[in-house]
Amino acid sequence: MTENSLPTPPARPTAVRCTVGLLLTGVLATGCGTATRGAPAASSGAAHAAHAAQQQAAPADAVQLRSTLERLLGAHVLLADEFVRTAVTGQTEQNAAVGDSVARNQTELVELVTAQGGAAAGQQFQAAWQHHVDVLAAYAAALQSKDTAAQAATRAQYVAAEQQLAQSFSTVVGGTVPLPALQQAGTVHGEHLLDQGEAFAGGGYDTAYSIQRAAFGHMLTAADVLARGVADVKDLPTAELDAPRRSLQTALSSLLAQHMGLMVQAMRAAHDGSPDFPAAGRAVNLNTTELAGAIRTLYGEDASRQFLDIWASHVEALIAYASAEDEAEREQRRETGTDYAPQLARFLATATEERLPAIDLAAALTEHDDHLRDSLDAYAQADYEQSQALAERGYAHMFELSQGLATAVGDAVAAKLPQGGPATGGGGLASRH
Amino acid sequence: MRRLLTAAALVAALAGCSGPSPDTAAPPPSPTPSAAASEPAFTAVREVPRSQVPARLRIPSLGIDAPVGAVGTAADGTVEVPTRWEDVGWFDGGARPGEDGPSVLLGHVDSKAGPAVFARLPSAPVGTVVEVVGDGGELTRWRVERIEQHPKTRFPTEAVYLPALRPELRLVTCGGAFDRATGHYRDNVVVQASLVDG
Repeated sequence: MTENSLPTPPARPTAVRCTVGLLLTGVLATGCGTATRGAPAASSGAAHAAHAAQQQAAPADAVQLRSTLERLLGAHVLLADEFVRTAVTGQTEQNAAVGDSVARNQTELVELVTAQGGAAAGQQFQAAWQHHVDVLAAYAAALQSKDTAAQAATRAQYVAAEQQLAQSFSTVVGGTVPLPALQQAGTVHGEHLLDQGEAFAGGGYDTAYSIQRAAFGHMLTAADVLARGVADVKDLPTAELDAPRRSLQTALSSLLAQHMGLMVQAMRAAHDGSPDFPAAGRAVNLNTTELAGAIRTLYGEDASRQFLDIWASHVEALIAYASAEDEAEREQRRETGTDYAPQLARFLATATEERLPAIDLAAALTEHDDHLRDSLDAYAQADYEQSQALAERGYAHMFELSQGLATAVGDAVAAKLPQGGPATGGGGLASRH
Repeated sequence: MRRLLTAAALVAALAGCSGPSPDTAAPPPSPTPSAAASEPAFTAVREVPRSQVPARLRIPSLGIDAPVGAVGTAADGTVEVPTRWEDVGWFDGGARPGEDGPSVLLGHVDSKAGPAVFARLPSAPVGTVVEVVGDGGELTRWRVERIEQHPKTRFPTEAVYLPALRPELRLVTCGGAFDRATGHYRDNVVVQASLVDG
């Protein structure tokens, strides 16, 4: 089946090519971030603000580069999954809004690749990325129409598209990462996205969420590999990439970012009464379990229980908010559960030995809560562009929060670790020589 | 200096060790019915299951089969070590084997008279299988990925004890030259292992 005979896909995301002049500065210019899908609606002001807030200077070191890649590639998984799901369920307007998010994510990735690899690499990457998104859209359409022949054809095309992307990534890392390894990673990633969609379309919602979790983790690995490859090309120091506190930062970023993404999915499902809600709830609970596990490893069982109590209330209040029958009921429930912010702030301030002031933490946690509630409000009012923009902002906010937390937690915990090397030898073997 | 990241290591990282696999985590609690029948039912998890406390360590290829007891932090800030040469100590300030984060097990390389429980540990090849049996009989299996030796004066404390995103096992013993003046080995050997199944 040729590409021309593919079933008509749902609304596809597009992206703007950035001018080379803007890229020469190596700074992600806000002018490159505008998605062009018709005249901007009033609510898209939030979308532009969200995008501008997420843009940052091209990472100057390997750690920043890896963190940026984690954010962007992780977002790609969540957005791609949501793009396919809304296509499968025939939610055309929601799909269009998610498509715009996909386009904004693409723009950021293109700018990053261009800043690191040059204009030609950026253009090659842009073409390959756009193509793989287009094919994913066609696959989603085939799932929706239950056209198994089209599914098989677009699946094969998607695998080929991932190989093209691997080639473009290879250009950026200058051959320090073997092409076969990148191609294999592309295959794994492609299977994640396609299998997730297929599971969702078939009602295997727990499987879909499980694959999403695996796909997100895989992107963290990819971010690390790509960052090291670019650092190698540019002779950037990489020792800090191996620092335990950076691993802690990645861990916290991953857990908090997935919390945000899963809460958006679960709250929308709760609002819609959609059949994947129970699975979304279980995915949220699994993420909470992992967060509590991290707290337990850092601070012990009692602290983990205390954290869980606060966090569970936060999550339940948000789901209840999303489940409200109408705007009036949401208004009644608006303040329920917001006391999690000062409670958790006091907990974290204590845990970091006041390295992070409780008042600042409370503000950040309130902002997180607002992102989710406001995003749901917009969704309920069918302002899907605004809802997406707020979800994007909230997702990026999790990375900002985790960076500060990892530093402060790392400092506080490290001070309590056993010091020095253990005395685990009596010398009996040495006396034989 | 350009370094070629080997295809094998990368393929392993990107294809085999890609983070959590689908459906390998314990299923989280299912939602329970809420009071409002028309609203989607949801109850957030409020209790997290724990792995078992380690009770026994086996490394069959090295002939190691030893009891495991808990050790903590001594008054001087150093980690406690087993009080018997043939025992293994589990640092109870960290994760239990199988939980996310590092689980640190310590053992003596020798006694004052001869070999002790971890005498052969420093020579363990990459790929060595390690088995940990919990106090309820739960078995976790690990595979050695890396062996490092560090001067005790520059012991990588955070690398050994700071939490990570996935379960890790770290076996620590002494190594290097023996300083007769102090009565201690100058180095520590740290064996890093990743969870195979459990």
